[in-house]
Amino acid sequence: MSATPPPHPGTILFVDENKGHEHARPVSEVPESLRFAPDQNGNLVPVVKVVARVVGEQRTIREYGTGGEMLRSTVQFRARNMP
Amino acid sequence: MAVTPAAAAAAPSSPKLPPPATQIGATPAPQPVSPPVVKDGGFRPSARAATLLDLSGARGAGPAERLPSSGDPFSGAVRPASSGDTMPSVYRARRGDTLPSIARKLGVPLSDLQRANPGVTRVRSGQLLQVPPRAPVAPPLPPEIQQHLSERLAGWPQGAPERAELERAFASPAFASLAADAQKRLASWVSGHNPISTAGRAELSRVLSQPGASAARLQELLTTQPGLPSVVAGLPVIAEPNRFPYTINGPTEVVNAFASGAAPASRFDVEIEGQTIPVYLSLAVEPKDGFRHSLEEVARGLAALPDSSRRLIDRVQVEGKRNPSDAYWAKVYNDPDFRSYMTAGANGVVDIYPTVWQQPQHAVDASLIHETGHILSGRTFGSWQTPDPRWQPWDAAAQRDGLSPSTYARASRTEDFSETLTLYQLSRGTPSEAEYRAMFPERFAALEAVLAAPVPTR
Repeated sequence: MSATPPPHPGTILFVDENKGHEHARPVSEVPESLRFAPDQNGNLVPVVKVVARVVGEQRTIREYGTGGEMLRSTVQFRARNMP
Repeated sequence: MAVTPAAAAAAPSSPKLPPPATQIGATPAPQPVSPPVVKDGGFRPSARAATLLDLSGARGAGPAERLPSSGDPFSGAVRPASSGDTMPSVYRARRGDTLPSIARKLGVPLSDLQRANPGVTRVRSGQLLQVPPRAPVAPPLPPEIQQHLSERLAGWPQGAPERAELERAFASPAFASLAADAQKRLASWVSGHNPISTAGRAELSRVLSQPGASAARLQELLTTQPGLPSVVAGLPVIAEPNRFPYTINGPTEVVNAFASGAAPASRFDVEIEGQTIPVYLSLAVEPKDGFRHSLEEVARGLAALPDSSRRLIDRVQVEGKRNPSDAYWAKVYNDPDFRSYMTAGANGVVDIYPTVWQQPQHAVDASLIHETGHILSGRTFGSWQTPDPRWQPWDAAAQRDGLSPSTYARASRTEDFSETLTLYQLSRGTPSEAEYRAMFPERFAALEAVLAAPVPTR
């Protein structure tokens, strides 16, 4: 695992697939824990795209690196209206 | 004696008849040229129905046939004997007949029979009932398709309502007019006992009961697949999935770097098939953040994973607090109502967060398979966003299958992979496996190739 991650390109594109919205945010406005993620070798690399999609009572968040590779995959559950 | 249409029209006491049904995808049916046939406790079947039912006395007629006079108002009626006739007729009830039993005998839906005889609730012996027009006659299906349909129907016993429903659908002109591959695909989709098939079968029956049901409408049904679950994880659990044997060792008290922050933890080692997976349970638990999975539930979930997926897992962290990223995503996506349940990283780290509602074993099983499936597909096929030729076999398999396991699977090829993998893995060794394999033969084969290959290295 490398100690120093490569420099971030500067923006992260947040995509809402349900609404078809895309919004690029300066990385300075994004929490540090979301700016970088480990790649498959455990090295921190920049996150440049985050895609959210709501399906039923779930929302998935996919975080991608500069090469289009998926770095983290999160499933969320809706907090209310659950049995 | 042959009777001309004019003579037939002049026959006495002819009841008012509904118009003949239009035949789809087959030689047009002859127009009615005579008053209806009356048979005691019998009816005049279509040529196709006559092959399915024992209709002594209703077959073998010549080009035109006079029925024996019986003194009833319709005696002397003449019926044409050409095949494919859809002319409606009248049924004289026998003792013991009921509307449902007559509907079964006639091979028409009960609702159609009730509509054709408004106000009739109980049937008396000798009572005359209007027989609704039967479905137009479909042309015979090729032997290969018939074989496929027989295999699909074999899962249902003779006399089962579901089997009768499927036989009616497969005998419809709309089905006969579909392309051969679409016929096989549709049959594979709707013929099973599983929840995906059950929903598809209901949609198929609904479409076929509507006026104007056509091959185009069935093709649209295949394309849209209404009734699909939003996610495979949402399917009801029919059978316990196969799990590898496992043992749990520990704990060791450590400090671990959780996603929700460094915290004291109990480390347990879950041993499965010679692999050791460290599971860290945070001891810094925030009770208000909800329910956590137990160590046993996590171990059982790991044991339900395909070997190839499990070997990509470096460790599991059962977090004591919410995912700190939730707050930011709530703001960015303008919806605060979602809470993280599980994250799988490309580095093989899986985080499981507390939830507002207690999640069943099925949730951890399905989510682990799905989320780690993204790691597996990424290492096998590469990025799904950039053109990568390694995805081509999967894309081709999905196109040949032509069906989706869930609506979410349509979001992208990587979701299709993970959703199909979840369905594959959770159905292995269960009664549903063969049914799902019939629906997704190409992708199941592609999955088995992936799972049989050496575990993708880092």
